[in-house]
Amino acid sequence: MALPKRPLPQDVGASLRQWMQDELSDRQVAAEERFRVLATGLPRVVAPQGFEMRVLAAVGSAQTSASARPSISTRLARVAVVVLSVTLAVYGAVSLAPWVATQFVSLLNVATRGFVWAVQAADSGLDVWTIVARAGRTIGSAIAAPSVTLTFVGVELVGVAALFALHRLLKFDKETSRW
Amino acid sequence: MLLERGLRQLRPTHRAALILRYQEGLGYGELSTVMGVPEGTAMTYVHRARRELADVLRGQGLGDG
Repeated sequence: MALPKRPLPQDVGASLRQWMQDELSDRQVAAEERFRVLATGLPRVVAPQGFEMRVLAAVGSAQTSASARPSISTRLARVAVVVLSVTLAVYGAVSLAPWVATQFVSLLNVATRGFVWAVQAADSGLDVWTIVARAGRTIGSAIAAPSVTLTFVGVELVGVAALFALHRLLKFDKETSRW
Repeated sequence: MLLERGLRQLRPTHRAALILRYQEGLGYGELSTVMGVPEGTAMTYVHRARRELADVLRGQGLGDG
């Protein structure tokens, strides 16, 4: 809405001084009215050529880069997942290391004894199916041990939780990048 | 012109407020939208800008006599 143009007062200097007096004496209404008249004499401010196009281009690129950038909550969630994963990994490694070492040694024992047994069995004329059945029973009894089963279940649960978190993050990222 | 020279010495926010208000004829609501500030802040900009302009012109010796 453009204000109606008013003719400049004949004595611009006197009007200017009057406005200043009103302004400095806090006569707001009078000061505003006088300044409005004085401002009609100011040269129009014209934007340089291509200004609008440059502004529109800048706004467009700013919106693109802002939407491509992950939000603060996404970044915080990522950091939390990384910290949690590292903590779990370190804790798991430290607490499971002795158990893993013990199991590795017993696995070596079992493998050695199994090999010796297989060689002896082959010498004494046992058939292949007897050997396979024996090996199956050994593996089955190892898996059925509570500690081994619990470890398998724990590892699977951690894996499922990590996959779920990753899926949620990727979904959220895709939605925010669409905005 | 004295007024134009004085305007150039104002800070950009105040200069913009005066030009938008008195040259472009914007209301305070429109001014607040354009400048991205609350309406009360837009009014304050305009009043302070006029006052600052008056001070600048007085500093240049105008209005003494």
